[in-house]
Amino acid sequence: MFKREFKINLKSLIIWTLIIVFVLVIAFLIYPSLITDTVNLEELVNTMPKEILEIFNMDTISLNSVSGWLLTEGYLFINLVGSCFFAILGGTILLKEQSDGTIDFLFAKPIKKSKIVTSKLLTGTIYILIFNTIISVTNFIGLNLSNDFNFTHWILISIAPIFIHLFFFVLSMFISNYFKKTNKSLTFNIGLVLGTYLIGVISLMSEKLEFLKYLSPFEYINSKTIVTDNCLNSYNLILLTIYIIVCLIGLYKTYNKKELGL
Amino acid sequence: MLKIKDLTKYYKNNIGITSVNLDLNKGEIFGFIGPNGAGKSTTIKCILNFLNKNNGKIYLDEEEILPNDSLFKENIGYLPSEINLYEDLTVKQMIDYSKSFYNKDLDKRVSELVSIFEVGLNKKIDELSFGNLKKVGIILALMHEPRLLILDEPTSGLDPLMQEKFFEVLLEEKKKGTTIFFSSHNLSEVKKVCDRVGIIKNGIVIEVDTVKNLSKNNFVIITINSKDVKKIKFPLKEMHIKNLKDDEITFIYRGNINKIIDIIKDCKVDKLLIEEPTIDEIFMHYYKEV
Repeated sequence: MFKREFKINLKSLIIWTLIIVFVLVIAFLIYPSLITDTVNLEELVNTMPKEILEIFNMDTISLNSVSGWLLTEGYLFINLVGSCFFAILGGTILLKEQSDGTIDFLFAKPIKKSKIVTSKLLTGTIYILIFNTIISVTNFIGLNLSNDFNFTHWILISIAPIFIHLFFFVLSMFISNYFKKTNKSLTFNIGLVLGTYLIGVISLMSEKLEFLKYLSPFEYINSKTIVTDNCLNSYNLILLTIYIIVCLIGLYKTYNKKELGL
Repeated sequence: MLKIKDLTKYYKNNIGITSVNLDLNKGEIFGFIGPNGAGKSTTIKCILNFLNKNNGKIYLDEEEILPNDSLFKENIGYLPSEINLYEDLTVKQMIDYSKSFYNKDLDKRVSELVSIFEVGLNKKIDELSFGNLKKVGIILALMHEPRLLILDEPTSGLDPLMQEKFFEVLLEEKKKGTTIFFSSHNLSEVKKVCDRVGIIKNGIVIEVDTVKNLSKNNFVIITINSKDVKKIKFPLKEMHIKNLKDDEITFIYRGNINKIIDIIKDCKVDKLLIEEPTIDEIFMHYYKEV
């Protein structure tokens, strides 16, 4: 079952990974000439409001290098696009059997509901690892070719998105149990990714709204901590791991109770 | 072999089935009939644990099927009324995928079924007609030689020739000792292959008997020709009117025939005809009147 699951979603994994790799390659190729020849980015950045700089972490990270771009816009792009993909995957991977009616075939076999969930979870988790490994390798090559490689930063921006992607994948799978059609689940889950990102942005705009950052997983693994502290915030990582475990428990419990083939 | 005790299922505020009791014997073909929405599929989906029952117990070979059980399905073949399979696969890939769920060698049986139902193995599932899809569904339900076969509207979409082949296969399965739960609203096919029949209406099983006994069960069709037809006070609850004109009434009646004779004795009757109804007419009586 896992083999089939792995195979059927592979095409979309390849497409989404290639999109990110393509953008990164273009950035690695063009960015060095952009910062040396064309414009003085530092001057441009200084004209921007403080809040905007904070949102993109440009208040602590200089944009005058390839690694600076990767730790700000590149990192955000990887997190956001990857989260969208894994939210879509999570929102459809389980629900599709129900909405396509193939659950009538699958669940008539001697297979437990928990095994169905596990095989789909395993597929998603391996996809997340493949996705992030390919991106990490691309970053490794790009940063080395640009002579701008910092091992600690590289390893941290390679590991951190795995947590976010896993969180959105598991959360979307859990939420999809409350939907009957994949298109509704898909829309909701993409909205969730963009919504939580927006909440994170809002939390940076004013000290009064800072508490909102706890509602945005994107703020849990902010690249600012990677640059300033050379590590990931362990408290936030534990919190994110707890969220993932809670979603996993919820997912198994609700799917075990769910009525299939209605 | 399959025992269902007080099976009840509610959908939010609606009743799906109420206190369904059935007892299927080994090697029996049991017809389960009823109009659309009567509760046939709900009963099947409760047996297979697709739905969470509100009350009741189900036993397969004396062992209770518990809510999260799945192993019992090794012994069950299920053919849903609507066949939805993985469209990206070929028929062969679909069969191979289905085989992967069972720990036994199914190649011989699969080859037999493929040749009986004349299925093109290399065709893609999304290229198959409804009838061919049904044939694949039948192969998937039968390939692991289950002890209990649950068939939900199995012949819809099959041409008459394939229907005949399908019935032959069912009778062979019966000879081997397979119990078959045959849900349908096609009365003629139920009559053809079933040993016993359960009739379900509005979620309640209203009759379970052999096809033979149901036909003999005091049902008569009475036709009365009289100008006073509309004045006669008939026992409406015990009859199902088939035809009513100014001077003629035809109805199915179950009860003491003398009661009708008593009612009409003071009327001028031109013609009184009492016939045995066909099985279809008896079922219609159950559907409409009970």
